Amino acid sequence: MSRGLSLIALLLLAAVSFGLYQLSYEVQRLEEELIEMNRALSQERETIGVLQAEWSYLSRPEYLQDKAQRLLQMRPATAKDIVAIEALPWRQDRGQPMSNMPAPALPPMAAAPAAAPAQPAAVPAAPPAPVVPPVQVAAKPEAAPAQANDFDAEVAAVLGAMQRPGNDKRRAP
Amino acid sequence: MALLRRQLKPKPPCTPADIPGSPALVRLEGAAKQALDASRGRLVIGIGLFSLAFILLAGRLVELTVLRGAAEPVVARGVNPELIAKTALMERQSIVDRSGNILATNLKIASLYADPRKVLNPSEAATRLAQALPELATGEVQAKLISGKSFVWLKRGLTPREQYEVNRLGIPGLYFHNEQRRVYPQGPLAVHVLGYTDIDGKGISGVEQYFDEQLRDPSRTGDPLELSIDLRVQHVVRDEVARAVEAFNAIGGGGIVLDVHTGEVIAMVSLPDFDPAEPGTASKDARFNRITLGVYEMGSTMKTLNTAMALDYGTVKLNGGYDATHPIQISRFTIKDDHAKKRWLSVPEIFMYSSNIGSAKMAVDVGPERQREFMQRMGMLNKPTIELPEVGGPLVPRNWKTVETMTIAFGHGLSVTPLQLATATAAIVNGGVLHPPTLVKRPLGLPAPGRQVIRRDISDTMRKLMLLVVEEGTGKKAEVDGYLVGGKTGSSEKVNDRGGYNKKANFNTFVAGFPMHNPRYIVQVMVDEPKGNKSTYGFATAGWTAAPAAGRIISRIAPLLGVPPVDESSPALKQAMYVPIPGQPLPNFSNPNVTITGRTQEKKLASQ
Repeated sequence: MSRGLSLIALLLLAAVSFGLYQLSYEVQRLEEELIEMNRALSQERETIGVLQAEWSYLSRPEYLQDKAQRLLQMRPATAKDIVAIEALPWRQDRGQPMSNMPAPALPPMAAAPAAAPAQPAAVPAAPPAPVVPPVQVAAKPEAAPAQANDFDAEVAAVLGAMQRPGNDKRRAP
Repeated sequence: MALLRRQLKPKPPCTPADIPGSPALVRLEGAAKQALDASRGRLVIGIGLFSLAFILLAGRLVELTVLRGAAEPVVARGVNPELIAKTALMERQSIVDRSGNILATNLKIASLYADPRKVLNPSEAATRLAQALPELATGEVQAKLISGKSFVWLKRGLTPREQYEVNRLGIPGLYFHNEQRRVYPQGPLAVHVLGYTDIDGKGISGVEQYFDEQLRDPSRTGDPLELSIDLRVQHVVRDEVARAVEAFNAIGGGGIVLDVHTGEVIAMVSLPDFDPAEPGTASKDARFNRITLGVYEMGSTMKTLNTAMALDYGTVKLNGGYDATHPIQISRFTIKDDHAKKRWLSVPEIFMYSSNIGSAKMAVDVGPERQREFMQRMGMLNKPTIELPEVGGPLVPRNWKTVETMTIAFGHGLSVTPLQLATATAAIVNGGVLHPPTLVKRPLGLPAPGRQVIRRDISDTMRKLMLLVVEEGTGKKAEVDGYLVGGKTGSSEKVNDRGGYNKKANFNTFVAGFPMHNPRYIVQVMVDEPKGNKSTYGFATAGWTAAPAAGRIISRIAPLLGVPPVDESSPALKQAMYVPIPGQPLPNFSNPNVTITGRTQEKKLASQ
């Protein structure tokens, strides 16, 4: 009885100490791994920092301007190089299917006076206040959904999205 | 165990059964019993002590494994201060521009040192080192390596590539010491905004000093300071101001671009400047921030404020005017016009021909008290608030009487920082709201702080008047194709050492807003003491020096800033921005040709 108990106790002791050592080594290994990972992480961050600084250095405007002017014969953009998206002509192949439309759904700026009288119902109060801001002009097909096909709606959405930030972003109340 | 038993068996414990009937033992019984009792007592104490120790150990085990289980992740999460110290790399946060381009950052750089006693072959090591690091002289390195000391610096601040090259040599006895260094990849581009740090990485100028605590805060790692500066605009302004300074052989210059709706400073340039990496080599003049620290008599650019003031108080109507035939004599001053017309001038004419006489009379009608109150309202009498330590306070006259009122009307007698003029002009064109200037990017969508300082309709009128200056007045050279630019020139004589005015030394300013039908930005250019040249027929006034630079800046930055160009000759736009000048016939706006472009602009104006 006493002998058996001692044996069991000894076996338990051996097992527990083995387990403890095992655990202790495992923890040690994990800790080393953690330190190693943190070290690698910080090294990566450092590398990223260096690369970002280098990128910033190599893309500094002064340097790019010199290269662009000397090697690519580029010049600063002027107002003449910028065209409003409304002023662009429609592509012929995409423009054709809109035969059910009385006029271009998204009138180019210059064509607008002709288009406005052609849609008397859709445009609210055209003659007394022909001063529709561009955003509203772009949104016209949405106001007349029966006439607009999917393509127009899509274009209108894109145009609306492009114009709104430019015009209204800074108009904080 | 068995072995233990066998050893124990030959020595049985002394029991009462072994000694029955022994008289000696009986006699001794008392003493033996005593001894036995004593030893048994001691044994119990021993057992108790050991049990206690084991119970303590067991308890500790239970505490460590079961109860303190939740404490384990402390290490795994890396909140361990020791680990943080090991992994912390950016001791100081980066500074970036409004689109995230790095303006200042901390890099860990290695410095190379040697332990000469451990270098096996000094001459060979020196030769190879000199090959890897060309700026090192072989002889010098060799002398250091045979010195027999235990520590010599070979090179401070190696680039990662150089460090790699040195490592590749595999020379024993060479070591690296890691250091943090503040790096400004953009060089001198925004140096007066950024400032610089001392050798210990402490900000001692610019936003580096103003935000020093925030930049050092370790809890903000990876959270850079976002400035309102736009790197591209900053470069354009510096480029063009430098061009003007060089062309007119000026002693310095400056430029500001301000967002009129938020007060954000998009660019701030003060020339001459210097490389923040080497602030020690910079002259005092180069370190001086002319935009926020320098105070100047801003000259005729103050007429923008003066005209807005008179119109806002209603002391004169837009179609009113003053007689500017004769110069004004008051105390020791003679106020005369540079571009004298010698006749009655209407308010728009006074502004566009920059008449000192007319402006002075306009201010006298408002009166010294109300003028002072207005200047206070426009922020001209207090130190401007901006996130820089280098801020100069205005020089306000102690006696503010009629003479001072007259001279302040055309920008003399009140010295302010160029930043204050830009801020006030922004308020005049943006609908009358004064936004405090800031160098920190404002969050999108939140309304910028500000207060209404002049009426909205006065602001609309002032925009038209400023447009007139560029179209027909002193600022013609600032015209830009595709953008409605309005502005005001100012050429003031600088005060000389004797307290008088120096006719040869001008401080030229051009303050412009664009596009004037829907203002977005203020561009202000200063040229300090320009000298006329052949291209300007010897003239050195603002209209010839600062205005063309401002025009070039606008033509380059407007496309970058996404300002849509307009057809500035469109009749509708002309009509919308028309200012009636008494005595001039109403121009014929060809109405039938009005395009939708023009109409939308008109609507925009009406809605502002």
